[in-house]
Amino acid sequence: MKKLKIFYMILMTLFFVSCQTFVEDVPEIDPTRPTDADLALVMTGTQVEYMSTMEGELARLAGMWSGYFTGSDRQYIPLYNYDITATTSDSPWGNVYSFVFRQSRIVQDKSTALGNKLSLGVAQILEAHIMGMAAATWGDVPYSEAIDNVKFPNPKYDPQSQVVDNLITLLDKAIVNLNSGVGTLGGDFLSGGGAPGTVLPGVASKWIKVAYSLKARYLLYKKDYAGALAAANLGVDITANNLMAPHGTVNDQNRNIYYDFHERQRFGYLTAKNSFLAKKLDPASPTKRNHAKTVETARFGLYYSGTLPNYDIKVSSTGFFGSAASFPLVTAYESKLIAAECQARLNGVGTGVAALNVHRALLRTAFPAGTYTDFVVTDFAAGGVENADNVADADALLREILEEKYVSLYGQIEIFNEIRRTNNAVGVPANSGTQIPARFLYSQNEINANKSTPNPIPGLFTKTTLFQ
Amino acid sequence: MQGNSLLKPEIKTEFEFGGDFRLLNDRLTLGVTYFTNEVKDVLLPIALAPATGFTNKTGNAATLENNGIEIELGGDVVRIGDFKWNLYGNWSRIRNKVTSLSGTESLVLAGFTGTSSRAVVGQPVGVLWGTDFLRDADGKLVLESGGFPQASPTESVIGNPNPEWRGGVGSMFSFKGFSLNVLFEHSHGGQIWGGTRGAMFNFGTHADTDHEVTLSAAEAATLRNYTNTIANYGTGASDFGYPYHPNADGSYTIRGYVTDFGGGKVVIDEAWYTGLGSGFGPVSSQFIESAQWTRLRQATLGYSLNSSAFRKATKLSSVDFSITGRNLFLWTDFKGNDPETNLTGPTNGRGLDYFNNPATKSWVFSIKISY
Repeated sequence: MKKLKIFYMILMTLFFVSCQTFVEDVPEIDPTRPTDADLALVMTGTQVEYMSTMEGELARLAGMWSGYFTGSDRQYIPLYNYDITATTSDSPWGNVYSFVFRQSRIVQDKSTALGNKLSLGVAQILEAHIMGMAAATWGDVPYSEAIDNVKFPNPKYDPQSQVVDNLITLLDKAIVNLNSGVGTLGGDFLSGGGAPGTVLPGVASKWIKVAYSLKARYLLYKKDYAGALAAANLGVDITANNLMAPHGTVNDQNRNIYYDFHERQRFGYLTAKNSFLAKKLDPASPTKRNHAKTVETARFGLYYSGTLPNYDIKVSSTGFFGSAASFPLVTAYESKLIAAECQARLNGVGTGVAALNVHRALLRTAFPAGTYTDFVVTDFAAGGVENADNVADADALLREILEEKYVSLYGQIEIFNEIRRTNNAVGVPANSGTQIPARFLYSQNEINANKSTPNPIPGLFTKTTLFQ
Repeated sequence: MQGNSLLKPEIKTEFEFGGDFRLLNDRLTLGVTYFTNEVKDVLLPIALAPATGFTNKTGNAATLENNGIEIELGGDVVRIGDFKWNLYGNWSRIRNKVTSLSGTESLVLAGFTGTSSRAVVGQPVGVLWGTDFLRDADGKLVLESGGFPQASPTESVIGNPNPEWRGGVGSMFSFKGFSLNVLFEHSHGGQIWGGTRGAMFNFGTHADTDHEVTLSAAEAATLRNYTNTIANYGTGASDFGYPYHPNADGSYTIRGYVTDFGGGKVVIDEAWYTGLGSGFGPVSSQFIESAQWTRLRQATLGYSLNSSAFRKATKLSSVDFSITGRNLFLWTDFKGNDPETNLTGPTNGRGLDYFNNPATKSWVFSIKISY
């Protein structure tokens, strides 16, 4: 028996040794988990992330805080009433940095390696738009040291105005790259335009206009009205040249994100009950903005459904948030209104009115059933149709331009920036308390892991540097 | 997720010391064990600052320490003829601590965005993490102008689901072929997040929200709920519900109650329960409760047929009958249904209750035939 036991023990030892050699040459790379992809694929992926960040939770929050929408159920009620914490920003902040910003850098690196200047320019515009949005909503944010985990594990927070300056320079580079005509736009699906439900390949000339429009926006943040005017005049000029996020009617693939949230994911959370904007546009509302030259019934019918005060966002097939409705990312409306505001501030009422009428011409094309008669200078004089309360002419014109911009930015994050830039000139009422928040809070994940985060973090009602 | 080519295996170093003793002529048994261990290079997803471009990477992220004592004691208390009463029990106390987490303050183990069970440096594994009310340096609530509390802008540790100690006591009575075994268990300390109650507060379906109060017309004009005065409630843009209707004499009978957080009288009603007082709102600390419990875990009554006459007649060595009841009674202060459940199941995180099913009570009848 003892010999048998020894024999078995030796046999077992041999088995242990042979197991090791069995796995020695097995490769450790998993072929089902790719770690790299072609430029066109990464471009498409980056653009999907970019459009879903601009159309997603941040846009809904911005709209609830800007009088567009109302939070009506569960978590959306405290969110509507400004009861937020740093964790509310975790998902959008993570999307901005680790999805859009980092991937746009990957696209830029690949484009540079291949000498593809068109794709490089587009990726630079994506970076400029997403980080401009981040700086506008969060204030000082990591930028120059960001997206470099090895060298900067704790990226410092650059001042808000410095980030905006860097982005303006980046947009200039993008414009040069796009003007060169070198390379292709493989994988770009945002600039093709097309009817709702269709996706067309990219168009470089449209991206150049988008870059100028963004440049105009950022120069306006810095109160450089002359620079903003020059850029706006080279920006998106007609609705057909808008940068739009295309959508469709297939579940979990391409539905409009607001539609999907409202109809499939969180029914009842987001409505427009008592919404400030709805009450401005509803012809039955006592605070409507209609007068002899402006009738907003058609635009109201596009934006909202329901009757005073139980409005809701319009998600039907003819609505702004219909399932296949494209979502505006950068629009002609915004650029024309930037131009109008700058003209009014720099060159007086006459030139300002003429610039505003360019925008109204766009509205007439978009809403043939509405009324958007061209203004004349006397409309803004005391007693005119836009100046019933006898304020200074220039003030009346500026008031109309800013109110028009408020209506035209429906659904976009940019309205939250616009309200803070103009110190709430439109007069959006606070949902609770007396003030509208002056920023979003820094992400809790960033607070936990980045030692450079200011401690304590700026509070919800602490104004950012550019929007005092 | 960032890749990591420098991964190493986890290494646990443990020291265990114990003894089994028999005393009083084998009538008393005592077992004592003490252990302490350190686990280094625990493989976990490390949270990176999102501004670096990556949200996490797998790494040898944590070091954990555990130590504990277990004591078992049992003995025959009574032995008279064929009757025996054996009393047994055990007591254990285990402590663990996360001693380091590379580069971050906390890691999520399980849970929701608003409330989660995490590994936090310097804390036991699985602590509950969420948002508390805004408090000053002395821990007092910082109220807003209406007299209501506010949410803190950042999160922190709000509770600990690990019990302080656990123990059990059982009695085994046996007389001739009969036996009766009764076992009680107790978990002392520990906390649980009662998310079910929080959600039911939001919808007004929890018994705690079922309270009415009548306010005079004058009180209704000045006392405020979370968004408005009682008399004007329902007319403001941020009011959740419809206006209250006064009684014939001008007073208001509403569902809620009057309280004072330290800044004057305020009314708690649906505006609070759908706002900051909601389970879906940002403040999760208000639903943390004690998870202490005592259970009658098991009671078994058995009878064994194994007399020599029986064996000769049937050629079997024995037939044993028993009835067992499990989880028969639960004594706890927890307002939910069962503090011993875990929403996230067999994960590293625990201590969350969100419409969990309670442990089942069961009766088992068995017949065992031995040949």
